[in-house]
Amino acid sequence: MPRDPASFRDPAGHVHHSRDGRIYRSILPPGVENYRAARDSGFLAAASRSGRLIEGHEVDPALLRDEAPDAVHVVEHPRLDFISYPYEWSFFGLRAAALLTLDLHLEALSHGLTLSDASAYNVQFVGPRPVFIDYLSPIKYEEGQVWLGYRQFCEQFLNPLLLTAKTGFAFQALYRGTLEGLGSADLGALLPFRAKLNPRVALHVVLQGRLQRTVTIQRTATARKLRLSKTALRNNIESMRSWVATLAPPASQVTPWQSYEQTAQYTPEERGAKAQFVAEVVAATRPRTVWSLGCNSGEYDEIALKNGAGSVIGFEPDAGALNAAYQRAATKHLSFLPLAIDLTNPSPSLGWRQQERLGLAQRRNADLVTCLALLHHLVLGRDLAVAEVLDWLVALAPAGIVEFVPKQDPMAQQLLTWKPHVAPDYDCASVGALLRQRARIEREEVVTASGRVLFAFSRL
Amino acid sequence: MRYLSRWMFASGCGALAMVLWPSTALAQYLDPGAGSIIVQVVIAVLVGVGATVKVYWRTISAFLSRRSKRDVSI
Repeated sequence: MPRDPASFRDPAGHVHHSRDGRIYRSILPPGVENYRAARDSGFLAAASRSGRLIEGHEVDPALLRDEAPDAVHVVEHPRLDFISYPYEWSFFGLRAAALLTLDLHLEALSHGLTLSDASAYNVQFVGPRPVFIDYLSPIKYEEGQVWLGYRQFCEQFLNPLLLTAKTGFAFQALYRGTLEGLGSADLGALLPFRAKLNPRVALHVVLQGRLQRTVTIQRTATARKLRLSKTALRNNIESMRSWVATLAPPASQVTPWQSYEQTAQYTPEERGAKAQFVAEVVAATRPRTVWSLGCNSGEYDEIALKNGAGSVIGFEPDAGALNAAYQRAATKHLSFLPLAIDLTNPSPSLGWRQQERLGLAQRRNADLVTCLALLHHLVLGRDLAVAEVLDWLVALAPAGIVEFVPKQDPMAQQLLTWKPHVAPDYDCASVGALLRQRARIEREEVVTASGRVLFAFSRL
Repeated sequence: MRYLSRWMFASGCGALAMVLWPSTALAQYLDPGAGSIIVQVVIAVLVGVGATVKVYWRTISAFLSRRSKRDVSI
């Protein structure tokens, strides 16, 4: 039963994957006392009952006798369908994960516990709902303890959110580069002077960054002696919570999802035809997981979910559309997780030995892939060959829907403004022929007057 | 000072002193987390003072308004 390649830092325990897909967590001697405190105080049960913490139940430790002979307890967790990382989350997703971490910390304090860290990688998403997954993060609270994960919280949650909120720069690319978030000193160098006049920014970012840069042996020794009362610790976390809850992306990135639907070049009849095609294909295939490539604000993902799809993972590089998609999923309680991923440059494998955070290709789990109004962006906008795109598409899932948008379509014309001669063989007949070489075309339908065509296919 | 225990107040004063008299020495082997601990104690003091002021604000404003009325009457 191999150990999860990302589970190597904590001496208190590790995560193991069984061959039949079950997930087990070993609790090793250094973590036993804190685990029992969290379990016996009722914190683990209460937090998992409320849906904020992943479920877990103890099983026979002998299950891991070969991989973790020292394990005192072994906890089994339900398997999550898809693992995502903070550098793939939308602004609202990262904010929801931040608020969950703070809420759980406050709840832990009520149970005589505190959280030993504040890693964003402790959070996963089930649809748009964040879930805390680390059973070894809660430890016994000792009077006077400071907020142990404060610096990590700032780097992995607060600072990326502030970067986008105060400058409009999307945090994901920087986050993917650093993997551990954004340091306060680095953020201080990026923020405009006006933003630093905010007293909270001045304290949490500017002052913290300066003190981190100017640390000395004496100052470290003094810092070790500093203590906070429980009330002060709680006040600090509550104050952070109330601030984070108000952080929002710039106005240009929070267009309501309804307006994204209105910008598409469809008449109501054409939209209805496209929706019906998607609904019927999904109803016929009943996919457990759909990958929605270029999901936009999630209009057709909602239709897929209403017609029998178990869950949808969306991929959308545009921050405004992504935020709209997340808001749609959250307000309508859809099992839909939209992620900030440009499919021409998807997340690679990163971290220690390049095994700690998996690349997107290694997390493939779709039963159906939808590629609506994306093919022309890849071929006309990003200069990819149709055959290569179709190879990739057919390899992603056993079945799929792909929309062909002709060059004369007004949206495609915009892409061709500065390069009218790109992809000379891009037409419906050749796209259909290339797809037929790779898959069985189950259904084909012209859905707009401009000549947009939907193909439903299944792998040969 | 309802929200501040005595020792936490002392911690806060220590932390503030370090902020007011910063050192510029740089050591690669030192934990920058020390700076984060100092900041959170400074913030705790400020949040505590803010909460205390909020609690006593009515008393303070009532006192000030009484004084200003007396000034006017003089």
